[in-house]
Amino acid sequence: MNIQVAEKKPGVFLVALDGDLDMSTSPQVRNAHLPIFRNKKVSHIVVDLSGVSYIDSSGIATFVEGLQLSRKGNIRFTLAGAGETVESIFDLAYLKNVFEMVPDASRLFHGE
Amino acid sequence: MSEALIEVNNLIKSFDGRVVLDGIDMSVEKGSVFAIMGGSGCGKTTLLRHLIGVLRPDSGEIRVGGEDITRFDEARMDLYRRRFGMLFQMGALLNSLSVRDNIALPLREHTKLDEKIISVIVKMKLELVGLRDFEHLKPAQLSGGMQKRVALARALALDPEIVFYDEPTSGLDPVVTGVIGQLIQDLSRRMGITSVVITHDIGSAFKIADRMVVLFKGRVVAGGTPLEIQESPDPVVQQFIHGSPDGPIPLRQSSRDYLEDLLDIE
Repeated sequence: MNIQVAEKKPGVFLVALDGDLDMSTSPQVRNAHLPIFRNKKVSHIVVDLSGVSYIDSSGIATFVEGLQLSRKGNIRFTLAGAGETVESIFDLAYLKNVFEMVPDASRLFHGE
Repeated sequence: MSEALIEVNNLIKSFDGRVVLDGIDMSVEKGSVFAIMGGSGCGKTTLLRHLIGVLRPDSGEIRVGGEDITRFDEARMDLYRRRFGMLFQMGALLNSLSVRDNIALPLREHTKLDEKIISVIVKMKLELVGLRDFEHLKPAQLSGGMQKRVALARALALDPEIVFYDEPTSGLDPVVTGVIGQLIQDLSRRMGITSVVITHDIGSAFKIADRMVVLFKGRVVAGGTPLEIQESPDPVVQQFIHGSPDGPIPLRQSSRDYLEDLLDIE
């Protein structure tokens, strides 16, 4: 799993993931995004899933924890670029509609 | 339907000279519900033990995703065992642990996930089996059907691609049997899990299976869709389906001559 973290605008962080998100790699993602949620200056976290071809329960659970933290910290939390397979796995877990999901992360930073 | 995920080719196993599996051939398609049926002593439990890698055959092969698991060393077998979940006949829940801890057990043993993540996964799995509010109870506080559902949630903990069910409806009333059957079907239809169900519960198997085989004396005597099995002219299949005491399935399982056996007593 390759993880790139970038501050795209003041307080707006992009976490770009590349690889399968499964029980062996999801702890890396958690370790990467937990410090961002704890950063008091963060207002919006976007996770770019366009490089993720598969996600399992541990990956979904990692984002559920992110959602919990975002609500506690009043931080906007967006999942972007999920492919059909990844989106269907959120759907199977009955969790597709609880996340803000957008088709393309770049649109969030450059406008429509 | 898609490609075969599990292929069993000419599987043979004997114990003490007694042939228990006598050239089993079968093919399980990915994402399907496949039932292995037969009466007591037909070899279905022995076949299941081969499918989960507990027993090795005398000859033949079991290909899962193209790889012959009968040739796996212990390290590869461990990896293979991570790919499937198993629902044991009696549930095999640990009574001293809560529902939550029973489901968390494989996650704690096989992953390095944080407890918070494990807690979320436990809730997700309980939601799948419709028991999310019961995580703090102990198995003994649940009905038999609920225990089966918790055991299923535990079997699903590691996101298996295959789930093996050993007599999943034995000892359950008809309504709960229907619920478990529906769950097995949903998991295959919605999540693409391949389900292999060992059962002698014909009614349930006909309702949920896409394809099935009937075993008798260690051989596959019929295979196909539920409709094809129902229409099979094979007398063993017909006797099994109709639960008739008369037919080729013997009342007595002993192979030795009765008198010979009596005279052998010292």
